[in-house]
Amino acid sequence: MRLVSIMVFIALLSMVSRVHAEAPDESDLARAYGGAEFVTVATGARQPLARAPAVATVITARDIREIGATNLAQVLETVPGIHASVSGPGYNPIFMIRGIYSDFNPEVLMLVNGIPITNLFLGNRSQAWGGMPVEDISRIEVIRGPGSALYGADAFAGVINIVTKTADEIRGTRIGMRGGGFGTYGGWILHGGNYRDTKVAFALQARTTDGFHGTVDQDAQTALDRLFGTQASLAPGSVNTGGRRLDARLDLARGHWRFRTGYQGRFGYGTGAGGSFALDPVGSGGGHRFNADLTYHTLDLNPNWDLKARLSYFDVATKTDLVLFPPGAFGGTFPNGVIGNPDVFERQGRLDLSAFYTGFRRHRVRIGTGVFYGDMYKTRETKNFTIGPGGIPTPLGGLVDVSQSAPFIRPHHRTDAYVYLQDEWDFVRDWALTAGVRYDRYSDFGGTTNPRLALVWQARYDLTAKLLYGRAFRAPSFAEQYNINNPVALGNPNLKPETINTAELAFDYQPTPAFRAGVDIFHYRMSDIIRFVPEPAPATSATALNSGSQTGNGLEAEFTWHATPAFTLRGNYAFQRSIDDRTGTDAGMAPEHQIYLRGDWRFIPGWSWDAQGNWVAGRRRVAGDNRPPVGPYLIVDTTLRHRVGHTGLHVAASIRNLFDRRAKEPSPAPGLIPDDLPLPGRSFYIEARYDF
Amino acid sequence: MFPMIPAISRGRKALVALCLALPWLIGAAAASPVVPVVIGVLYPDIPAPYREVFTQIIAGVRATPGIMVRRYPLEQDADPVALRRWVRTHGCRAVIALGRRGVAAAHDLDDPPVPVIAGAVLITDPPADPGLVGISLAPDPARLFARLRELAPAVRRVAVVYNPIHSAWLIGRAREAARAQGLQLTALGVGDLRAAVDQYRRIFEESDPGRLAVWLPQDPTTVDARLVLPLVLQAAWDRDVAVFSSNPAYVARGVLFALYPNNMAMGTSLGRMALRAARRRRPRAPRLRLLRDLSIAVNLRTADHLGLVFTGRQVQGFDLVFPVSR
Repeated sequence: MRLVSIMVFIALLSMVSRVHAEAPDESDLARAYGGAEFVTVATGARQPLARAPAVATVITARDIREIGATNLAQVLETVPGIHASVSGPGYNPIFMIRGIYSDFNPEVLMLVNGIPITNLFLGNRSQAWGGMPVEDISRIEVIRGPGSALYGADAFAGVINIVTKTADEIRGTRIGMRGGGFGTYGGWILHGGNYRDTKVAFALQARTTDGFHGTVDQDAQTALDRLFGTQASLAPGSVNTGGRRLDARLDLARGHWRFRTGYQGRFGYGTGAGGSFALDPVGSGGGHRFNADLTYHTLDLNPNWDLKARLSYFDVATKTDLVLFPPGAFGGTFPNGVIGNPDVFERQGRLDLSAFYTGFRRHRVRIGTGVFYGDMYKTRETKNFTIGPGGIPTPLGGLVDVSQSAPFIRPHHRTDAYVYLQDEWDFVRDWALTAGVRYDRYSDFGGTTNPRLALVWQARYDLTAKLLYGRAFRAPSFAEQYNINNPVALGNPNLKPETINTAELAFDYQPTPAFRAGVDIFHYRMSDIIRFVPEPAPATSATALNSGSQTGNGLEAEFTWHATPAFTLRGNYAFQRSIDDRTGTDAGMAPEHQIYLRGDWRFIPGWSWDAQGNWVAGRRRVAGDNRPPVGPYLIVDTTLRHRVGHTGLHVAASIRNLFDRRAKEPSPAPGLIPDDLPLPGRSFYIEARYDF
Repeated sequence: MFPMIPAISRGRKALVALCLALPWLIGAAAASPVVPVVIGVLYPDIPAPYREVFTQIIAGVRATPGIMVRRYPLEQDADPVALRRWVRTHGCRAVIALGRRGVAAAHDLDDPPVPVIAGAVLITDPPADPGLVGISLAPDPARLFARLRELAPAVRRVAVVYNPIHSAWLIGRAREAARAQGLQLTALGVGDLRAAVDQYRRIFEESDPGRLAVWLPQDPTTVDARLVLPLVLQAAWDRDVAVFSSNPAYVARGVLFALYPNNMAMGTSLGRMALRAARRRRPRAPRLRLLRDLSIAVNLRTADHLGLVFTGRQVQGFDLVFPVSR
């Protein structure tokens, strides 16, 4: 079947060899704008200057539309070196960059318009993430490798910056609807305009989905049933991935000032494969994320100074109602199941000041300073169990509010004050050295200094080589520092941050106007990795410790080929091998090989067709997990788009997982879901959008 | 179901208030007391991404004060009778004809005669219709040279290889523009790509690093992206010669800068010309002018190589900057 998939995919791509003939008007415009590709660039919004030398990928709104992506994870899967996996609880995305994996994925810094959306509790993007809709995204900037010298905490394996659309990009009103597989329906309205010298952009997006129902044959309760002689497990049964979401954003810009605010509501999200890896069709998660920022940006004070000041606020609530183990678990002592409902409420404030100075010849200096205040101001929990000796839940006699008496964590806060300096120095013709360093002073774990160096050589007009080094850190999450009353995951307030040192060598080559290729090789070493380590016997608990290190090597190669004015082929290959230094074995979970290939074909005027294939392979187990490696998969998606007549109406049809491959993502060791986590099978979507 | 958090409650209220204010703002903007002149815009109905060019030009025409725009998308075989009827029915006082298809269709608008302004078309010398009024897609050399002086102030001489059949008119304008900027223009006429390659080779052999710039015009008979451009870029890189163009795609390859159409501003200029024509005023000379509503793309990597330093404010003013990642 896999062979057939590959052959059909290649056949589909090879069908497009017909040379496209342009009409006279298109020919004139192609000469004035530099071809179809550049018409899009030239008619788009102003592009920003990249901030620092790095191995970076920029994904545009056009890319997102062409591949038929409906959420962020689908988009990021196309980036070389990134694999979007899923976690068991909640089926939240885990963005593995260059083989770096952990259960909650705090090693990846996600920004929205340059502002972190990291949660203090787990260091991730909330357990009620619910995805990120894509209609309001202007572009996604992805940096693989360390970025703490500029971005601070958690720019560890990589940085993902989501930039939303401005009024200039939206220009007018755009509405759309989409529906399809797994009971998914949604719509959006975007508006951008200029009102009394104020540029206004507004976006509202809503979606509901039943979620796909991939089958889990055995779960954590299956193993407990064997121990207790019960039959409580709901496996075989389906994962629960439905939910409703509402996203609203507003962007007001006037002169030097910009105000942006956003709201993301997440309602009734399914528990995935269960909060404790035991299927839970009843539980759900939800919450909200609210953000606002006010930015002042000027170049008027002095020709050599580019100044920016930003005040931002982020508020996030994660609420969960979980049946951790089903009714009848633990010998029938829990007739309603083991219930735990932990809720976490946080708010964060930031003040950032930054400036570029170009007054020194051959130097571009960037300086910045700021403060951060993060407050997990409320935690709440009701549950019907307590953990007894040996880690076995014992009933509390009903649902009890333990928020004050024995919560999973108590409120905590932290502050960070930072300063950074970076200089890009053109020290010899065609050679530039960027040196930067950032110092962060945290109220809880102290100071950390993170440098970066980048040597860039413009070898020829069409070839650039970069040698990069950077150190980055990940701040311990509050769960890792302050968890209590959870014997298998006790916090440790004395934790140090995880660190990573990375060296990269990258080449970018464009031998012809139609062809561009890039390749990079990397080496990294993670130290002071934070893990929950079992206490020596007879204790049965595990406490967070800085324990062990990991070393990784790999390469990423990518190309873009505009084969004809109407057909473009893109692809990339990523290889990584990461070793857990404690055991000397593969660090596991992440794919060793990934191949991505995509073709876009405007085969007749008004019609376009996109096909993409993503091959994921070489996912080994961590040391001590004796299950066989997770099988490889090739998933092919295709999207057909059409503009109807002379109107602003566009329709599209997509098929995701065209060949209905039964793909799986690895469940973490020791394998409470022994047969891993199923991914969605084939699904169909249709979409209509109208641009006024 | 869930208790409301005070901070969020405030945030939501603010968001709701802003959303409610939006229709009011829209309404306020729409209430304009001006009695508009109806201008018809004929444009080729071509697919994305080129269609966006016309969408933006039309948005620029709409932004011209005192104009009401009526749009007429043209299919390949547009019916002239239907078009005449459409112009009459909508009371169009002037027509803006975009693209070659638009200009061709506008030829038939003689009953009743309506002033026609041409736009979004590469018009060469001599124009097919000497009576044509409008704006060419070709950038005005005066703007190109002014930008060159701003970005590379040490340059004193500009060399261009051109085809006299296609670009004699343009080169005539360029000579005047170069003189005005204190630049010496060396224009070398050729008939084909092979001759062009020879001329480029000669230019670079005699080049004076830092003081010479090469201009690549919009002419496929003298500049070819596949063969000529790599040769020019490699030679320019080796000899420190600035290369500039009217093609932003070339900037991504290594040309120092290019000027390309600013569609919104071009639309507004066309709108003003149409308004003038509708009021039966004589068009300002020249009747057919080169494009002055231009955006700029700059390659900072090439600028670094040439030792050119730009201020933050200059960089902020660039519409496109390459490379995207440095």
